[in-house]
Amino acid sequence: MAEFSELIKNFNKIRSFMRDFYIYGFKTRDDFSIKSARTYDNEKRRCESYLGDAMKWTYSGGGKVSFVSADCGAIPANPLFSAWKSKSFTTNDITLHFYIFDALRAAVKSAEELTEEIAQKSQRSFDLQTVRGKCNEYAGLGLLTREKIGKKYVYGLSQNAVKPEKELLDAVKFFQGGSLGVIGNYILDNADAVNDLFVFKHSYIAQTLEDAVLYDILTAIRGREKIEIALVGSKSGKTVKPTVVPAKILCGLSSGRRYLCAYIPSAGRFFTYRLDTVKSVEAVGPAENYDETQKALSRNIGKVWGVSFDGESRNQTGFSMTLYIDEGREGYIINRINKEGRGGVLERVGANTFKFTRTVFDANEAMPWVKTFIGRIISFEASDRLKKRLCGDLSRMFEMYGIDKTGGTEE
Amino acid sequence: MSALFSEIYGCYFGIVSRVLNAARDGISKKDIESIIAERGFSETAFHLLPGLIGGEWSFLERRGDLYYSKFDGGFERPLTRLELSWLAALTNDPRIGLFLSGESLTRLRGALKETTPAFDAADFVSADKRLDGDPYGDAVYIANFREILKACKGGYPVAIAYAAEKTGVSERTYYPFKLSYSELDDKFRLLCAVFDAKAQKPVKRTLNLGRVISAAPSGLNRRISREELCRLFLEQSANPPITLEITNERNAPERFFLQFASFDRKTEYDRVRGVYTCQISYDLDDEAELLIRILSFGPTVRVLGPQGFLDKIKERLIKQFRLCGGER
Repeated sequence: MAEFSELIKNFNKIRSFMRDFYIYGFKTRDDFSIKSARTYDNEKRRCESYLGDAMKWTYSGGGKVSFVSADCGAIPANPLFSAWKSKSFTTNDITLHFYIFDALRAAVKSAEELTEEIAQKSQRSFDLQTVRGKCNEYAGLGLLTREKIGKKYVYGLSQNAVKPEKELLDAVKFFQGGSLGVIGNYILDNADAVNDLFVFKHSYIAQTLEDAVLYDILTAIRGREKIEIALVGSKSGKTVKPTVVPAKILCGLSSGRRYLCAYIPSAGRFFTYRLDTVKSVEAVGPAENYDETQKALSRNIGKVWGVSFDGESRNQTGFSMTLYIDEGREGYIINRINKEGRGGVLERVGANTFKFTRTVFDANEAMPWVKTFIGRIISFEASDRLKKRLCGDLSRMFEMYGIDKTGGTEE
Repeated sequence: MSALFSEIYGCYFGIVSRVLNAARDGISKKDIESIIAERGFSETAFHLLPGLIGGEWSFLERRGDLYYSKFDGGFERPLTRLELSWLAALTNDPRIGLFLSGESLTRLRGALKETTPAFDAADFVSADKRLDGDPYGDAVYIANFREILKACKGGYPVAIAYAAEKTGVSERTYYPFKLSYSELDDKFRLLCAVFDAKAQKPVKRTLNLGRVISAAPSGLNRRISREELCRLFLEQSANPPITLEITNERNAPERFFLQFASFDRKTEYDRVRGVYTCQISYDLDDEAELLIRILSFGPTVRVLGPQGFLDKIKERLIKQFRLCGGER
C-alpha cells in the first residue's frame, strides 16, 4: 500500500474535490463519484491537512458531512491558497534548491563548478546533467541568471530590481485578494508578511481553484494565441476539446462565476465557457485577425446582460419593467437601479411610477435581478416565455409563503 | 505543468528556508517543530522532519542539543518571472495610485519595463460591477485613503469628517480596524469603532471611504485597544442564522451555494425530500442585501426563519400580491 503524502504532483487532483467541499458543503463519501473509498479518504485527509480550522464537519441523516466554511469578510487570506502550496518534490529538488542558492551567493558559476562544490559540501554526488537541468529550470523561472562566457554557461542569483517592501507590500496585501491573488500571496510568504490590513466582501474564494487555467488563458490573450481548451461537462462528465480564440474573462461579481469569452472561427460567433469546467488550456498557435475579434466583441458586449450571447432568437430582445417607487422616501431605489441597471434607461412615467428598459441578447439572464424588485413590480414586458415564467414564479411564491387573497397571510 | 503550481512557492520549501535562517546560530528540535506547526499543514511535521533533521537532505548538523545550518548565509528567494509579471499587472490598475506616489509608480514601472504583465485590467469584464465605484484618481480620496491606511497600520485613532447619506456631515474620532473592499460595489469601507461615552463601550461602525471628507490623526488618547477591536469584529454575529430550503430545480443548488459560498454556513441534504437546508450566519448590516439576493432565486429558495427575516420576505410578497391585483 502506497504511503499517504499530503503533497500532490498534479493540482487537478485536488481542484474539483476541494471545490465540491467548499461550495456544496454537504457531500458525504457516497456523494463523490470517484473511484474508490480510499481516494475519497485521501483527498479529504489532504483537504483537512491544508485547510486546518476552515474545514469543519457535522453529522446529518446521511452520515458524517465534511465542509469548508469561512466568513470571507473576516479572514486575512484565502484558505484555499494552501492547496497551491502543496506541490510534491524529490529529494534532489529540495537539496539542489538550497545548495545551488548557497553556492551562487558570492559569484557566478558553471554547472560543472556547481556540481563539484555541492558534492563537496553536501557529501552527496549529483549528476552534472541533473545540476544543469535544475539551473536551466531556475533560469527559466527567473530565479537565476544564465550567461555564456567563452564556451560555457554560467549561472548567478537574479538580482531583482523590485523589492516588495513598504507601500508596495501594502499594495500586495490588497491585490492578493484579487485576480490571480495566489501569486501575490506567494510574494507575501516570501517577504514573511501576512495581510493584516484588508478584508474582502463579495469574495468568492473558490475561484482560486481556476487560477491555473485563468493564467494560461490570460497568457494566450497577451500573446494573441488560439487555445485548445479541455472542457468537462458538469453533468455528463464528458471531455471535449474545442479550439477557440480567447478574448475576455467575463466575471459575474454577484454570482461568483467566471467565464472565458472566446470566438469560434468556424461558427463565426462568440461563446462563453465557465472557467470551473475548463480542465486545461493549451496554446496552439497565433490567432488570425486578433484585433478584429476584439473589435467585434466590443460591438457586442454592451448587449450582453451577464455572459450570454444566445437568447431566444439571437436577435436583441430585451425587457422592461414598471416599478412602484415612493419618490419622496425611496430615492435610494432609483440610485440602486442607476448603478445596477447596466446601462438601461430609467424614466418616470407617472407619480411614484418608473419604467426601466434594457435591450439585451438574452433577457433571461436579467430575471434574477428583476426578482430583487418583488414588492414593486407593476408590470413586466419581455417575451411571452419570460412573462409567463415571472408570473409562475410569483404565484408559486405567494403560495409557498401563504399569501392569501386579502393580501395577508394564511397563518 | 502550470507555472503557478511549483514546489518553490510551496509550504515545505518556505519552512525549510525559515528553519535554515534560524539555524545559523543553532536551533532546537522544539523550535523547528514550532516553525512547522505555525507554517505547515497539519501533517507536515511527520513528512518534513525526517528529511530535515534525519540528514537525508544534509542541511543541518547536530551539535549537542542544537541543529546548525551547514550554509554560510541566510536564504532570500529572488522574485520569479511569474511574481514580477503579476506586479507589472498591478502597475496598470487605477487602485495602485492609492498605495504608491507618482514617483514610486514611475520607478516601479521602469524596473518592470522588460516584464510582460500577467494580465491587463481590460481583460476582465464585469457587467454587474456597480457604476458608482470609488474615485481612485481623486486627490482628496487618495489623501484620505493613505491617512486611514496609516492609522490602520499604526493602530491609532483618526479624526474623520464624514458625509453620511441620511444624517449629513459630522466629525468624530474613529478607531480603525481594517479596510474592507468589495469588487462588486467597487468600494472601500473602513471597519472601525467609536467609543460610546454613555454606554462606556466601543460600538462598531462602517464608513464608506468615498464619503470621507477629511481624515487626520486624532489627538485623543486611545480608549479602545487593538484586542477589543478584534473581538468586536471577529465575534460571531449574535443574530440567529437565516435558515433556507433550496429545491433541486433550475440548477438552483449550485447557483445558490456558489453565490453564498463567502458566508459562514452549514448545509444538509434531505435525500427523502430532495431538498437542501442551509443555515447562513450574517451580519445585520448585510440583511437588506441578503433579502434581495434570496428573492432573486424566486421559488427555488424558501426562507424558513428566523421569524423577523421571514416577515420581511412576506411583507414584500404581500405588496407584490396587491400590485398583481390580488391574484395568484
